[in-house]
This record gives sequence, structure tokens and C-alpha cells, in this order.
Amino acid sequence: MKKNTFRYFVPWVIAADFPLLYVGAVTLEIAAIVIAAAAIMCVATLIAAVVY
Amino acid sequence: MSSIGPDLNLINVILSAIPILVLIGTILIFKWSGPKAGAVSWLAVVFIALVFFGSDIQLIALATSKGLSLSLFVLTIIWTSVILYNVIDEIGGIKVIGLTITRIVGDPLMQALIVGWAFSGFMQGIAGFGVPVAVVSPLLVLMGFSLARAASIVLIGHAWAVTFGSLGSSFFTIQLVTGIEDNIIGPHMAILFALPIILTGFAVAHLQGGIESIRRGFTVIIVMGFAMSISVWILATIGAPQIASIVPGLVGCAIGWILSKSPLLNKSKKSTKLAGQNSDIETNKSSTKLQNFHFAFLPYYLLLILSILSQIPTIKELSYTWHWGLDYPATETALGFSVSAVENYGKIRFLAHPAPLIIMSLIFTYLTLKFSRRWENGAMLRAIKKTYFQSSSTSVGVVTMVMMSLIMTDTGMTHLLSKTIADGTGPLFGLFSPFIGVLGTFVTGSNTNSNILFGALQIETARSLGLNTVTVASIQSIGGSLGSAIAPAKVLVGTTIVGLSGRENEVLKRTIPYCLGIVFLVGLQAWIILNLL
Repeated sequence: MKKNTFRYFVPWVIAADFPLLYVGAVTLEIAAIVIAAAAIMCVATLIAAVVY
Repeated sequence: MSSIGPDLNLINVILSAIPILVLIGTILIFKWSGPKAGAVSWLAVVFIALVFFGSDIQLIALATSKGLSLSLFVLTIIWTSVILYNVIDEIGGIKVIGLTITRIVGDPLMQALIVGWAFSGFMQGIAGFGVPVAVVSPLLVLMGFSLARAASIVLIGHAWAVTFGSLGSSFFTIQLVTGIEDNIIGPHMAILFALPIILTGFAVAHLQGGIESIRRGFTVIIVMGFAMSISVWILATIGAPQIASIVPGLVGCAIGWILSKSPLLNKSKKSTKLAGQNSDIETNKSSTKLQNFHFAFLPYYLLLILSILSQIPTIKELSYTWHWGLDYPATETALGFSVSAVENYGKIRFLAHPAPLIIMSLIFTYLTLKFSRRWENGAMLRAIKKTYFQSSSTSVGVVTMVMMSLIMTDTGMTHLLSKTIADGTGPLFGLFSPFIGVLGTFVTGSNTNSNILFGALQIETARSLGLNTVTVASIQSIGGSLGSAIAPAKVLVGTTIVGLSGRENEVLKRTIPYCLGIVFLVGLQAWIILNLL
């Protein structure tokens, strides 16, 4: 996949991760969801650090 | 926010500063783009928070989510304002506006002063949150200013209007967090704002054409600056701080236009085209259906009307009940730094937030132009597509930086940094106080957030040092206002809209010396007032 594809992919991943973070940490308070959401955010920012 | 937390020692202070140093260093030294620097800074702050500041994944997730809430508040304004700009551009309106202003004011120095200084202040007054940078920078480009120069002029030029801008949001914040009555802090702050207002005018002139422009425009800048400062003071004194950027901005435009025709503006020794000016705008005739300035400017007229309407008590009351925001629970790190629970965080009020107002003005503009057969089919879709590609990089930059700043705040890093600055400066606190405001705006991209972060802390420090709290509170907000000129989140808006994405360092290199110079003089003014008067 080209760098540009990832560039437009990153904002959508971050946007999709927002409800997951909030629901996991505030509404449901389930550690597994929180860890998964935090991991997704780490991956998205790692990709952002490479492709931007 | 608890005062208990990480120990105030050198290692913790250095660790707290690392995310900000990474952000600044990578942008300025390695010339990284905003999103790349923001992403690495977020990863750095997560690591430091988990390993050294007693955070856990739950706290990181909450702070990150808060950052996303706050980003949504800011990004909805950026997205809608860029769509608005692109729509007007697609139907040929921006060209008409630029052409008209260029015809009215032909001198490049006066264009920089009227558009980049006074008009950008007016735009900050009605919308704020990066809108002046997004809207006014392209106008200057259209007049022939180079891309980096246009963005830099607006970033410096609008910085005087941020505290009273966005219909006074930052002003009301500092007033709320410090508990000082608005009729006390308002006039006091307005007097202190006179210096930065005039200095930003000189900075704009210098950015436009160096020392020669300062020489030519000296009297004009002084007259415009005084008129704008007096307007700010009158409005703050009569209890109308929410329009204390709108009216002075318009006053500045009107006086600037009158003075441009007067002998007060010294004639240029050279051609009227100075540095950065290579306009060929006069030769280009618009080929669109939109030839009338007032139709081209219609969205901004509507935005002004809607902003004023949103201040009507009944609508204002309604806006407090019709909103969207998320509730967050209280948090505490293993080191004992606690943050209180908050309701409706990053609250978007549907009848007062700039984004819905911009959308409404866009809808009314569409209907008016459609019925008067001035609308171009497909313009809206093209503008939305263009906005998506323009804004995606900016959005990642804003999101990562705000997420980083929220983790810093919720883990006590920001508290530690500001306490170090306050404690370390002692009797010289007044001199450094505005720099704390700058720091807050730099990391959050918002004068309002800077006031939330540091307002109470500055007051606390002023009380312990026996200093005038009204002056210190004012200086915090003035520093935060001026910090808008170098806040990466705002610089990103400017660079994106003028087509300088990824070259933020070119703009920052221009704005940083002016911003820090003005802030230093503001600090000096505060130190004299606090210690000698």
C-alpha cells in the first residue's frame, strides 16, 4: 500500500477509536476494551509518525 | 485539580518538558510536519506517563478520549470554515473579495495592515478558533503575498484579538477560573492589551516590508493601534467584552482605509510593490457568475448576523440546554495527582458554537445565490472533497497534539512545569507570567484552554508572591492570546489553507521571533506595573 493510502486511513482509525476508548473507559469500564482501544491508538499514531 | 502529585525535582521537570521539547524540536530542527511531530510527542508522553508519572492504561485512555472530545470541538470549526472558504472560492467569491480590497487599498503595506491586522482581528472576533488564519491568509495570497509571508502576517496580526475573540470565550474563561468580576478584569486587561495591539501592527508591517515599511507606516500604525485599543477598552468597560474584537477590528479597517488616502502614510522610496508582493491579480478578470462584492461577502455578513443573534438572551439560554458533550469521571495517578470529574467536556452548543453558525450561513448563502442564479452547480461537492483532502493531515496534527496536552495535564506534568516556572522566577514572575500563557496556547492551540490550564495557577502564585491578581490574570490571557501566533495547531491551519502543508517550519521561523519579542515586552510592562507602580 502507498504512503498516501495510509495517510487517509489514519484519521478514520483515530475517529473510529474514539467511541471505543470512551465506551471502554467510561460507560462499560472493561479493561480489555480499554487496552484494545489504547493499542489501536498506539498503532494509528505509529503509522502517522511514519507516513506524514 | 490536586496539588499533590509528582515531586518537584529536576528529573521530573525534565521528563515533563520532554513531550513539548520533542514537539518543538522535531518541527523546528528536523522540519517534521505537524501530524508526524504530534504523533511522536503523543507516543513520548504516553511512555513517560506510564513509566514515571504513575499512570495506568485507564487514565491514558480517559485523557486521550478527553483530547479527542476537545479536538472535535476545534476540528468541527476548522472543517466547516475550510468548507465555507472552499465554497466561496469555487463560486469565484474569494477572487472578487481580494480584487475589491486590492482595488480599494492598492498599497501592499496598507493591505497587510488592514487585512492582516485589523480584518483578521474582526474575523477572530466573530468566529475565532483558527478561522481568521483559514480565511484571511488566502486573501493575502490572492493579493500577491508569498505563501509563508501571508500565513505569518495573519498569525501575528490576529493574535491581539484572541482573548476577546470568539465572542469573548477566552475572556469569560479567565474570568470564571479566577473568580474576578468581569467589570474589574475587563477594563484592566483592555489597558494592558494596548501595547500588544500596537506591537502586532508593527510586526505585521515588518513582516510585509522590513524596516522600510515600519518607517512608512509608523504614524498609521500608531493611529490605527490607538483607535483599536480605545475601542477595546470602551467595550470592555461598558460590559460588552464579547464584541471587543469585532468592533475594534472594523474600526481598524475603517481608519486604515481613511489613512491610506491621507498624507500620514509616507510614500515609498521604491515601487509600491514591496517584499513578498508579486500580484498579478489586477490583470485577472473573474469569469464566474459572482461579480458583486456583497454577494461574495454574503457568508461573512451572515456569520456576523448569526453570531450577534446567538447573543440574544433567549437564544443564549436555549443554547445552554441544547448541546453535546461527554462526561468524564475523576482520575488519580499512583503519585496522587488527581483531576476532578467533569460534565459535558468539550461542550458543543448547537446555537452558539461557530461550526453550526458557519453551516447556517453556508445554507443561507446557497439559497440566496441559487435563487439569484449566481450559484454554480457542483460547487458544494467539489468544496467538500477539497476540504477532506486539505484537512486530513491538519486533523491528525490537531488530534495528536491535544491528546498529548491532555495526558500532560491529567498526569501533573503541566502543573509541574508551570509551578517550576512560577517558583523559579520569584520577583521576576511578572516578566515570565505571559510566557506561561503562551505555553498553554502552544500545547493546546487555544487561548481558552490555556486559561483553563494556567489561570488558577497563575492567580495562586500571584497571591503567594503578594502581587496584583487582576494584572496577573490579565497577563495570563494576553500571553495566551499572543501564543496563538506560534501554536502548531493554528500554524497547521494556516499552512494547510495556503498550500504549505508539511512546511510549517517556514512559517514558525517567521512568527516565533515576533511573538516572543512582543510577549517579552508585555512581560516587562507587567513587571513594571506589579513591582514599581
